[in-house]
Amino acid sequence: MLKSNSKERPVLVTTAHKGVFFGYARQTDGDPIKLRAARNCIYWPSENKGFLGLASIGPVPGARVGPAADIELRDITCVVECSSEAVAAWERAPWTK
Amino acid sequence: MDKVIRGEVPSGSGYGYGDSDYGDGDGYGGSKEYWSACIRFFAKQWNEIQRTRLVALQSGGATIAYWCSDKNGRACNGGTNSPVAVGIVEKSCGPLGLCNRGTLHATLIPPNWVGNRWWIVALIGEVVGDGEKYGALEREIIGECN
Repeated sequence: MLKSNSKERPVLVTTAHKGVFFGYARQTDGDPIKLRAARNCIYWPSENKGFLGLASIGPVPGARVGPAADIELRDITCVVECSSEAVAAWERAPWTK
Repeated sequence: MDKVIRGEVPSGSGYGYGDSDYGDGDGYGGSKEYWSACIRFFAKQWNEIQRTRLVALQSGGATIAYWCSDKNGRACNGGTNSPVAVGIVEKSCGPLGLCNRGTLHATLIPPNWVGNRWWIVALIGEVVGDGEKYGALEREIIGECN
């Protein structure tokens, strides 16, 4: 099991309220989790190959992603570490209604 | 290999995440905390007059939220109005009540509403709401989300 420590890392977080967020977290245990530069994924197309594609390849063209904001998330259901490829895709994804 | 740090990967259509292996999906639209925090992002795109007005309205106790319009700035989630623009103040005679005709609305989860254009608005005076959706008899258009 991966250790939750104070080093910031890119993660994909889901909540019990069906929120799907990308962002950078220092702590991934406990509730709430603080996310820096969080992006809300509103929609992802089939080319993303499902939810885990958001963590492995990031949002693909056609995905709808909110702007970056620092937030606290509660009622966490899942935290997945993102690949460097996914991070690059999240960082270049424009916000889209 | 995906590194699940905590919890379980959500699965199953109908749970809001689409298919867990293949297919498209959607989140709920975020949270009001997230979209409240995004107001700062949008305000950075505005001019100084708009940013000053936002601060003044916040300081005065107005409820700051989003309103979604069609491409012409007209209501498209029920109701009718003239096209809006930055600085316009809309007023209604009521009655005040969520989903009532005669109440001016706004939301803190804009993806859950139809609309080509999103606006940051201030609801002024008495405000009713359910934590996601709000209503008042006065609504000022502060800026557009670009």
